[in-house]
Amino acid sequence: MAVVRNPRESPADRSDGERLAALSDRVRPGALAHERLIPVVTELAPLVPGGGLRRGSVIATDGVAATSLALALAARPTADGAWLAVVGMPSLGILAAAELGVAIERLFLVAAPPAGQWAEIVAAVVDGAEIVLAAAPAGVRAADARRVQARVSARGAVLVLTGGDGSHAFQTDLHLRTSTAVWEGIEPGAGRLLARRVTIESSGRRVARPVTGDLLLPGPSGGVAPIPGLAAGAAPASLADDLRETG
Amino acid sequence: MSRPPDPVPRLATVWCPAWSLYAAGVDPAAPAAVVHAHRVLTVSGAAAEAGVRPGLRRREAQARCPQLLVVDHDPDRDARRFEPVARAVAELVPSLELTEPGVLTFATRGPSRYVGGDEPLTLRVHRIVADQGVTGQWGVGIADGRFAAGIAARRAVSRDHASLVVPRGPAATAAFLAPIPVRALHEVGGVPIELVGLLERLGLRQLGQVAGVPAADLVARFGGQGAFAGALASGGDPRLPGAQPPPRELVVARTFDDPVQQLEPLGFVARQLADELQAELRRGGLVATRLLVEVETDHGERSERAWYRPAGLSVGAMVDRVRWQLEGWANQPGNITAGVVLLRLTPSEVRGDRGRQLDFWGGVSQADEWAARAIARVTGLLGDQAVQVPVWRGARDPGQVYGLVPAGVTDLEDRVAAVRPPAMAPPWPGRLPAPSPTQVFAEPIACMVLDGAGAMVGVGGRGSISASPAVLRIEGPDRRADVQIVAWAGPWPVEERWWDPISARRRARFQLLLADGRACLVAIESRRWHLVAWYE
Repeated sequence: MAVVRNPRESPADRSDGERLAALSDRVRPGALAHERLIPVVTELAPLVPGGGLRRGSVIATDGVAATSLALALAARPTADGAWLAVVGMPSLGILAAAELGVAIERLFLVAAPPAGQWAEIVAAVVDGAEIVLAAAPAGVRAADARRVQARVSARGAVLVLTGGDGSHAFQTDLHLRTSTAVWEGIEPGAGRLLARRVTIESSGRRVARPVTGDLLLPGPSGGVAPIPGLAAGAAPASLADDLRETG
Repeated sequence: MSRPPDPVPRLATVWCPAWSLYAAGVDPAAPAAVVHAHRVLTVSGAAAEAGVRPGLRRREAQARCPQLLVVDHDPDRDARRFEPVARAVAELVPSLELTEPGVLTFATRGPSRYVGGDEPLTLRVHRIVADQGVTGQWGVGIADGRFAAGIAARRAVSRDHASLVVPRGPAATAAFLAPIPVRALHEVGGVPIELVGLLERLGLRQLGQVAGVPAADLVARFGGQGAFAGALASGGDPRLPGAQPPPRELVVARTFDDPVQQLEPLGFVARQLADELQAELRRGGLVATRLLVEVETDHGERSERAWYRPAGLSVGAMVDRVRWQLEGWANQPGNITAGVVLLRLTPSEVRGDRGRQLDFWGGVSQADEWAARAIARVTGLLGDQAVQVPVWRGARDPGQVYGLVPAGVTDLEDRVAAVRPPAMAPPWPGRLPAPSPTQVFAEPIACMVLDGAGAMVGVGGRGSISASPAVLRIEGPDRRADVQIVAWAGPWPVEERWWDPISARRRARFQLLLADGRACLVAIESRRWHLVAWYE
């Protein structure tokens, strides 16, 4: 691989450490910084336009599996090196996040900001994490929401708002609604919670026509899984696809 | 190799084993152990006699010694309690160096001459430390070089003497070190445990044997660490492998126009200074092994301390030590009468930073640095406790497998190790299987589980359930909600510490599937039901 030196700097001006760091930045594989779309795990790809999270967008998840879905969206990005920040969700289950595939060594949690400071704190958090997950705030003024949205757009981050009743002041680019959850494996007095079938409907400004898919969220191992034995014609092709992407 | 060796400085080491136990206020005669992440770190004499050793798991330690008093690992508390001792010794000696709470080292040349010799010096130091009220075992060792002084202090303690003075000169030092087991190279000298294990397996069990191997052979076989180990064993005072002179002019400092009285903003400034310093050191591929921390107040009071760590000081470690120094200083009555106007950090010893720094693909990425900066900023806006990161703990209940610690003062560079379960982690019997709930309450919410007839469902001592659960009742602040239970699983009983009537816990967990499609985890303990988690 050819090494192009910056002609304005003579090599002697930079220390070995600096040169090495610059070179490694250039050839580091899978650098997220240069892509407009952040890829998500295969099972969720049909539900997001382009198969990935568009940088600078605001996504809303709601319904019975809102938190699980939000965490599942962050699984592949964190595995690829991005940081996930969770704001205002103090009882988040870290073990569940790990099972859903989130790389929890790149996770930090921020306490719920005091009233009136939500926008300021989230704007600061957006500077540090490419995926920001927040409980949908109530009572954020439209002006503040626009400010946060502008910051998200400028930083190329993704803001995921979960739960709530849709009354927040944000313009969401993608709305993922989870419904008709059916838990499998548990009976009166027997078995245990094994897996949950969820229907996910994807709609929004950026979605030409709404897409619906069924998934196991969570599956038996705790992560997202396709519904086993689903006929190819009954759902979008990649859900029945057995391919598992590595990484 | 042929230049004359630098004269080895004569140093004194004060060593208090099990300082954490003393700092926690434990009776020195009682069997006690300091536990961190369920592993024993330090033990008292009585506990060691009962068979408790560092490295054991907590449960095994308690099995070996049922009356064992368990103390939590708290380096802040240990450092705070040691600071008065350090200050008292600092009145006698011009400068001293701290490695960790319970261990301090200082050069003896001046003080020894002042009090008239090494033996009187040990008596004086002994009186100073005893005057601070330190009980339990501790010892003073004086010898040529940091390594020998450390060994002398440990020898003093193990022989139950107050002190041990090794005669001057390389011959006497080498003779003193000769019969010491090579394990001391790791415990006192900082040589990697793998090299020490290798030396033992090659038949070199004592330092005298290692000293007898020609230096060239040690270098050829083991590289820089081998040469270092050989020099230590011979009684020298070699610099750490990779040591370099610190970059001149590399000092970070902050002066305050308005004297600062609170510790929290000082901690924040210390973090910024440490970040700056680390960035500069990184640029040269270095890490600081010895950091000089100076604090000055408006009235001219000074606190100066040298902190030493052979493995190198990370940003988190630097911030910890500044905090310990400030807290110990501030908490002494009559010590500070004014606010702080100067905080200065100077790396006085550095070495090349191997390992993570020069990773080609991995290492600290741009994203990691942005995250660290944002965390620092939000911590500054909302306070230390506002930003937290997960660490692995291990437990039976899904909410306790990972704990949360404040992010602002932990080492953000070592996150991978902090969240990974240890390689030999045994299974936790009674642990709930995947999938785990996404919302777990730190304080479980009181609720009620009723059967078809409206009576509370109970669980008998042998895990038998009184009736099928039919209704889950949650008392809200203004209303009560009753939800039908469609399916349920359990009871899954857990019994902990059955041998201790005070802290024994018995509870049974259930998974409930409700009519509205939600699923939750509840538990009953002492005939009271609690909602533990939602599978949301």
